[in-house]
Amino acid sequence: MMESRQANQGFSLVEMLVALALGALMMAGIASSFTAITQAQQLTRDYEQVQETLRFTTAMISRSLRTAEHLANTTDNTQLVIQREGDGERVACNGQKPSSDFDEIYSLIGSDLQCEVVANSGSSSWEGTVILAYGIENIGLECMTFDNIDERNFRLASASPPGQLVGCGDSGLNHSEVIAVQITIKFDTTEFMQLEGYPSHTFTATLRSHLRTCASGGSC
Amino acid sequence: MIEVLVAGFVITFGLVGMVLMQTYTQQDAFRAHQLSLAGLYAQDMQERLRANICYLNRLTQDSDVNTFINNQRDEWQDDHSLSSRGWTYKIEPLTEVSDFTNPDPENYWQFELEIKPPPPSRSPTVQTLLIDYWGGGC
Repeated sequence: MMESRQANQGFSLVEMLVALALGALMMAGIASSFTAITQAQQLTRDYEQVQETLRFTTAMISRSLRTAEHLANTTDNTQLVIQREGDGERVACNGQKPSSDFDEIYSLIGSDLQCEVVANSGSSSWEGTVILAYGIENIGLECMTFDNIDERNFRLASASPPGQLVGCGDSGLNHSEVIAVQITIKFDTTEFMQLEGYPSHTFTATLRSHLRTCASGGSC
Repeated sequence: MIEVLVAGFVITFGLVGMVLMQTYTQQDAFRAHQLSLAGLYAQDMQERLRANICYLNRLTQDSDVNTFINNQRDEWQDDHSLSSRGWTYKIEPLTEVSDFTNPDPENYWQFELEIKPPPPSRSPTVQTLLIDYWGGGC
């Protein structure tokens, strides 16, 4: 009789209250940890995405400019038109190997950075458009022209003459004299919620092949 | 009662561990991002110097080379807002003008660029930038 009563004994009220309080504390801890972990993962993803975008666009545009014949005329300050030689071996930004001369047109459509490959004459099967990156709010393009005597600065007031960098679409620019382009990419903060206030990124790319031509002749 | 307390302790310990792991992952991701940026900044500097290849190859005094490098460095850091974001940097020429007139002359200008991101990164990135030497300018 005595043993049966002990076996049926349950938790006391105090024990139940303590267990409930601990359980509630743990649930609150789990909930807040879950939010913190989700935010941390989102932030890590955003960093990866920004890093990949920067590396890919920098490599792609730099490669295009490095082997460019010269910049083609454009009146749009947000569009970069690069004239390249097609020999069936060089790869264009859309992954194709054009067999004749072509233009690569880098432009921002919405928040996507696109590259369009267009044949200089007629139409070809290797023409096409690809999206290189997304989540970009705007791009800035500034061009630097060749000078075989003076130092070329981008915008230092001490440079002589100061501010030698002009918009790539400016009407007074002679596109065949451009030997370097400065590109600024600003990320769309609505795409990268965790990177609010991320600074824009600027990089420079020289038209190495064209620069060599200009330098060897003293002018472009 | 003891069992409940032990279980609570174990779960809390696990949760703290998970949060700490996330924090370290986040720090590592940020550090990787900073290293990647340092590489892109170095590449940008290299291209800026290359755009000045004619001017650089006309210089005949080391002091002029230093002035040129300092000008380019100031503008480069300004464009990337490096100082205001806590980055430190240093660039210095490894070659001298006289190196190009030696019996066994150098073919490249060499500059050493050191970039150190702010914490949590601990060590600087050092890159050697090479620019073609063309005697007498363009």
